[in-house]
Amino acid sequence: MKTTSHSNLPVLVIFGLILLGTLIMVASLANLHVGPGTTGYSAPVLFNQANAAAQQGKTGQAIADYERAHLLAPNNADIAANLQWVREHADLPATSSTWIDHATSWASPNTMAFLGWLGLVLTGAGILSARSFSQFRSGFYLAALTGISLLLLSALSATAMWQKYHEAVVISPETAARISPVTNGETSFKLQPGETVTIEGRYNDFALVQNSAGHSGWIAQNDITPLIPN
Amino acid sequence: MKKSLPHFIRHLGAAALIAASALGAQAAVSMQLDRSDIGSDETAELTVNASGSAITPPSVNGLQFTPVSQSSQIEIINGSVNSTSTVTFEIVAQAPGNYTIPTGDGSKLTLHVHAGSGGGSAPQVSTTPPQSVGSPLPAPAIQGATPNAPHMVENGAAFVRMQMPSHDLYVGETVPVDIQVGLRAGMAATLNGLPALSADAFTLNKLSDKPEETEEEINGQPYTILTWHSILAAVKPGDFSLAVQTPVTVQVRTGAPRMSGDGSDPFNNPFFQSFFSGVTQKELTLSNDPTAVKVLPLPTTGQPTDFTGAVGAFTAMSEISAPNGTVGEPLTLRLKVNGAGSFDRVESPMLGSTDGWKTYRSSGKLTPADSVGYRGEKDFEQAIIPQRAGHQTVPALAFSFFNPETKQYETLHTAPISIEVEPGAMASTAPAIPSAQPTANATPAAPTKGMRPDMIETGMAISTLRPLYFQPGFLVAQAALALSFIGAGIWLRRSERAASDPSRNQRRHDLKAVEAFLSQMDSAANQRDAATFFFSARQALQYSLASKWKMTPAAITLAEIDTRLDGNDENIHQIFTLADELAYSGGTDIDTDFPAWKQAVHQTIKETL
Repeated sequence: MKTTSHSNLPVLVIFGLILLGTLIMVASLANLHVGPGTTGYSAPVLFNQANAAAQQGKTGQAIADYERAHLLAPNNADIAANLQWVREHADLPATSSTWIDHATSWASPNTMAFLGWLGLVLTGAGILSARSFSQFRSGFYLAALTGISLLLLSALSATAMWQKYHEAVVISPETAARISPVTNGETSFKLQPGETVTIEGRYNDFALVQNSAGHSGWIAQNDITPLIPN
Repeated sequence: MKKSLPHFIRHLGAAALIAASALGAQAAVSMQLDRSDIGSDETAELTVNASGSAITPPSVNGLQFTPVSQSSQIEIINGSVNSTSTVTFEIVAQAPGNYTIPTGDGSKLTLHVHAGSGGGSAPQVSTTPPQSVGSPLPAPAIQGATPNAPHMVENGAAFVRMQMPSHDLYVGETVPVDIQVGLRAGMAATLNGLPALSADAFTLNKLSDKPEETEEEINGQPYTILTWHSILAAVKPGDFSLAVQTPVTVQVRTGAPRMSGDGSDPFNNPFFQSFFSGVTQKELTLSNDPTAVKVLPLPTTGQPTDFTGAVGAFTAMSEISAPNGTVGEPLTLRLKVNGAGSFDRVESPMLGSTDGWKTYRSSGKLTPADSVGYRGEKDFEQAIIPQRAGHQTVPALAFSFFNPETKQYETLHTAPISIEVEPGAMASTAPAIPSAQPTANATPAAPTKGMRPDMIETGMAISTLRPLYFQPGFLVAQAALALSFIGAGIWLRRSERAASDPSRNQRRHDLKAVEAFLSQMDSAANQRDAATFFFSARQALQYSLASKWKMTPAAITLAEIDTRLDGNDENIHQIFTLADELAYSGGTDIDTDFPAWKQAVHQTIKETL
């Protein structure tokens, strides 16, 4: 005959781990949020900054801030509309997106990270519970399956974001991409403000970038702003 | 045309160099003709420049190409070495006419050779070396990396020197410096790296991969001078000895030169001598004489609160993009800081939270006035939006720095800017509709028709745009959580296995019983309770033997023990007997040696388990 304390042990362990996971998430969110105000990054503030930049003719800076605001609030119609508006008026090529982008763009990256955490907790707790409490085994396995799905969704989001993590927006007019990282290097091609490039490397004050056409060249780091500042 | 033997040998050597370079890979080749029109008794020069590749003389019927000189340049860019070779060919035409020289990239050069003498109008490329520049040369100090420095170093074949305007600096102060490496003409030398400082109390701005190249005569010897213009910054206080070091590889002769001295011996030619002298490569570190530099700390008294570390001499002024504004329409506020000094420390928060103005983050950009960024202008821009109509004032901006000339902190204040603000669409409070119209005074006149207006709520702000799943702390915590789940699963699985194993349970139960009876026995020994003592001892022995023999404790009888231990059970036998006797007699107080029995029981059980 099992003692009461022994039968309660899995329950205690599982709840302990869920509590640990919750504490981790709370600590992460507390570290991430700085509260209301204009310090830090918020979608409305970035949107307003982008509006100001657009009205001053700073297309590159405007697009960078709209893109950042869009990351934080992907479902905000105002941000999407102004981003599209500025892109169209700057004659920039339409941005391409993959199925991964479509599958993960309905929520912000941080929401996706939160769902990944939830998936991890559901998976772990579900599998442990299914082993320990056979009478609810199918229900716990369903929870674990849901958790695995959330984990996969979060991983897909991270995969899509990894590309954006290395992207930058050209902010200077008539930016020359050179064949070597020197000021007087031969110009390979030119970039227009607002164009999104992928950073492939850095050397001193220069960054090796690739544009949407697949051309690579060195440009001054001052001429671009990373989509996700460090 | 009469040609001397040394002249021929020079051509032969140049051809050998060309042949050697032919081993390299093919790459970009450019050609330049010094003139396009020559007389039949004149020569033209063709300069062929190739990057890391072979140079071969063009083949044109009627033209003879003779190599007359070669030079090479090595560039180190991003860790990759790029070698560029240049060979100059002398062209002699066999007859007048128009000749076409293929360049290899599809284009062609044309040389017109007419009868007689007299060149055409094509510009002549100057071959005169640049005039020497710079101040009088300090005595070169050269140190070999090896104890036995080659003679060409002792002869002053190469040197490094640094020119700086001041030797008394403040921490954070920057001064422009010129670093020069001199290589005696005719010496084959390769720089193995850029010049570096010997003291860690200073930093040097990035040196260019392409230094300025000039010629200079020192003590009657021509030198090629490579000059880097840079900025030196002092980073910590103290008295320091500052020198510049440059690694080089030079080719030196190891054999004694032939010196006939009469000038008639063609083998006295230096080029020819080099064929008969051994040539070896030596790696050296050039260094100049250390210079004493005193670095003073910045004074702590009187330091303005907005001081950001800028040291130098600056002026500041502010301006706004338009004299008039409209409520809700952005204007650009600019602060221009002009002067000389540590521009990387020149920072300004611009306009902070100000009543009547909505402000955004500022950005700064340096426009250098010299090649090193010591002098220039740093422009800060900030978008500000008036919130109220009427006569408004943009407050004065302040900028603080330390002036090493006056040895004091100075704070510059710009003049407040007055501006007339007209009532407008108040974009910041307009509803989110796509019909917000820009006003006529929006600056600059960027089209905004169709744009959604500003949002009213600022929302929750986060400290970084980097998603949680790219933050190391979050990833480590998630990994730890996942490992905890895995660890808990393994532990629970082991617990279940242990709980479902009857033999392990029985043994655990027997061991617990042994421990309990031994404790009871020890307690009885202290109380000199013989009956309890021997009863407990027998029980402990029964449980330990039962665990060992996989039996029940009740089945451990004297007969069983005698059978299994084959007579080697004297102590056990006595304990069982005494326990029975005391149990049946009911006596407790017998004179026995409890410590000896305790030790015997413990020893027996220890051996059993």
